[in-house]
Amino acid sequence: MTSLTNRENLHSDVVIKLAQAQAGESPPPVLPDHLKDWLAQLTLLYGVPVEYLVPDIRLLPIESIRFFYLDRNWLDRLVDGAMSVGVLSSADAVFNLSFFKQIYDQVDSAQMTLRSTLREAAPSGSGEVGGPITGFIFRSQVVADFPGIEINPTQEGKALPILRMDTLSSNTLLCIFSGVPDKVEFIQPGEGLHFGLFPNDPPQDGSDFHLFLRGLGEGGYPAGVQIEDGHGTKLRGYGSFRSGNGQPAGVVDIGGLVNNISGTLPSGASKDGKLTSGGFAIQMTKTAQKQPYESGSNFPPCTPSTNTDQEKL
Amino acid sequence: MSNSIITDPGTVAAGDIQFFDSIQPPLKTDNYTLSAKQTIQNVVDSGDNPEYDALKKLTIDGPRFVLQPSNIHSLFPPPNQVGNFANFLPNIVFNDFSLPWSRAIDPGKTTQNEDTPWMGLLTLYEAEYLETSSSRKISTPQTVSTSQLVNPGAGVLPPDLGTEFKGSDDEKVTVIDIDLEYFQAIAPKLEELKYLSHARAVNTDGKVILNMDADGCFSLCIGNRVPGVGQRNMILLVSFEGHQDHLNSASITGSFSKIRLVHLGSWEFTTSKFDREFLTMMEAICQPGNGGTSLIQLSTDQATEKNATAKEALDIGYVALQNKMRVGENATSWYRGPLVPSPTKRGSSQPQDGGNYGPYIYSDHAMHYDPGTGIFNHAYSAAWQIGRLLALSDATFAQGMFNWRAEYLKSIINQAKQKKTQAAAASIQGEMSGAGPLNLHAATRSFFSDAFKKVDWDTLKTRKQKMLTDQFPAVFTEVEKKAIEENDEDPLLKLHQKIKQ
Repeated sequence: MTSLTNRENLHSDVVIKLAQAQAGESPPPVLPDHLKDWLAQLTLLYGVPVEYLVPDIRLLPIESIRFFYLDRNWLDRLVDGAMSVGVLSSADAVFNLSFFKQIYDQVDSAQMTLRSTLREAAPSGSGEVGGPITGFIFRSQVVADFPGIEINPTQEGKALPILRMDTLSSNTLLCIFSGVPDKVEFIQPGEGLHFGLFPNDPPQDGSDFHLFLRGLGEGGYPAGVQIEDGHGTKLRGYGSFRSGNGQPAGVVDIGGLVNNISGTLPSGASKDGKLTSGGFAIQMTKTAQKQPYESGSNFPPCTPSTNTDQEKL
Repeated sequence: MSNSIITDPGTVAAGDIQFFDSIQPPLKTDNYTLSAKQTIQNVVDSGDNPEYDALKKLTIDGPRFVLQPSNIHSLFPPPNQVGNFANFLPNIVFNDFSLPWSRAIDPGKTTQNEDTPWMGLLTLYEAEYLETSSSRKISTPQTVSTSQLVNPGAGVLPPDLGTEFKGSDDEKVTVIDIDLEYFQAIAPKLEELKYLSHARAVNTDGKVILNMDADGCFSLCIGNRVPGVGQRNMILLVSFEGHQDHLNSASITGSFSKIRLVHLGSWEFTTSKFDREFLTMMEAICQPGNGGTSLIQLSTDQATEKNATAKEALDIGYVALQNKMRVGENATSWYRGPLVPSPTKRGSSQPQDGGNYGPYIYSDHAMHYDPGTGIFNHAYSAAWQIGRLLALSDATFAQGMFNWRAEYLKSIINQAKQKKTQAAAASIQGEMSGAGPLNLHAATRSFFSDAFKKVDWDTLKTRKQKMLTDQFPAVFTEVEKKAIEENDEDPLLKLHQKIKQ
């Protein structure tokens, strides 16, 4: 049948067809899921050696958090490189030239759902496809000591979806989210509602530990909220362990602690100035601790880059 | 915080927890006597008003020597787990919201110390309870009769359950004997005990809050001793009933070396060595000597400040790296990874390019060169290369990508060929009258059948016919020829016979 078709005409028809598909007039190629997910993983830097992410160790010293924007151009080049595999003829090259934009778009939308796909959970539904991607890289003993640390990025109080959260090594955590947060909270792994105390660090005379005092719903101090003084310092109650000859370690002097707390609480914060067992339980409650980083205060301000439109050679 | 009885968690708003000092049962477990007196007045023929008395003895009973496992809602630290529990006080949560106060600690005075629970938690360290330890302070729990509970023998201090309590030989109880001096050192004081129990009402409203997933009212007992670090710990749940005068800082009369406690339950866990606090560690990041928090960029020194190009490059996340050029020259080039300290514009989504910026067919396309400084920028060419390397390293992906592209191209080419073929078919069929489905097969068939059907083709003759008509024109007569044909005889045989005649 080849003889019935004209080779030159066929060639121009193929090109017209590709142009139509590229312009959206006929169906463009749709990436199969496994290729799409692979490219989405690639653009979320799965498998990219850490040396490519952090080319100089001074960018990520020990015990540091480094916030970043993800450079979409870099990710597009990454996809270009991956697509260059198996380009054997001009037809393959023409294909890449025709459909790179469709591929970028499909990878962008797969980025949003990749984490939920990997976790076999329902997708979060929020997040702007192709929008800005930010994140941080966290190198600290905290990562090793607190597996299951929770990250809560928010923008004007709205939670931003996390696209990737992985430990690159035992003490390095990479977290990537969709959107630009104005606050990122680092939350201690959930321990539930339990009772505990904070050892004095550094040690101080007269007490062994402290706890942060909370309101009891009296005297204008909302129940369960930590009480702060005018300077934003959290009010602390101090206590000590029983001491003496032959005294086993670690036994809390409950009576002394109760007296210290009821003496430290601002007047009116407890009913009749007395601490009851329910109130004592609220003071002893040790919930998961949070460390927030907010833009403006300790989240460093950013100036948009001006050096992105360099000419191609 | 009140002591009224609540049973309905709906009284607490969704997501709220309400704390109670205690939830008192209407009557504590004890023996009660209900007495009634009726005086009848104005009885005729009687000097005084007659009085009638009625007495009814009743007993309120409750858990005393044994706790059902179903009474226990949760334990912390979780049994047989290893974790960072060093700065936590152990606690036990009961489903029965008034259990710790259902019984008075002093069986003789049920109306006193109402808020004081009758049970408590003791934390024992590894060296204090393990059987192999030389400084073991406790005995192995044993099951005895309740009469042995109050009469344990010389040197062991029994609980004072009142003179009425004699115990029986049938009722069994698990007891544990603890070194008295040690017990007093780790036990709470009587007045401290009430702070070590409380109740709470929880309404999680379908959402797990603080790891609590059950709604309702619960009671809790808290231990007064933090677990030992880097070792196993055992928590004993014991009854303090009758021990109100034996607790910490109470003086004991008589010579006792041990104390007998009702053993209600126990669990063990291990505390890991690590005992640093999360917040302390997080705050330490910002202390001198540590990295602190900032955007991902190199710090600039004074020399850099003077060089505007270098300063800008460092500010936007570039680092200067050694670069071995192809020609063998060593040079310094800029590199920047995907993690940058400032937002970038995405080339492929810029309106002026109509979204048509890209792709790079070779990594050399992505190399940037600044003629002003003579420095290469390898940020994007490195990205291209690692993208290609990662794709090549995954055979499944590389194969999949190749097949996907080849299949799409094949389908496009097939569509184009199909179009050509259809045009050819149309041109052939167009000359014919008959309209039918347009394809090459039908067109060809109809072309041949239509074009050739009017030709007067030769009809074929058999060998016999040819022989009789063409090859033996005068040998056989017409009658003989007809006979040969009708009888289906061989003409050669007939010829032979005819010659012989």
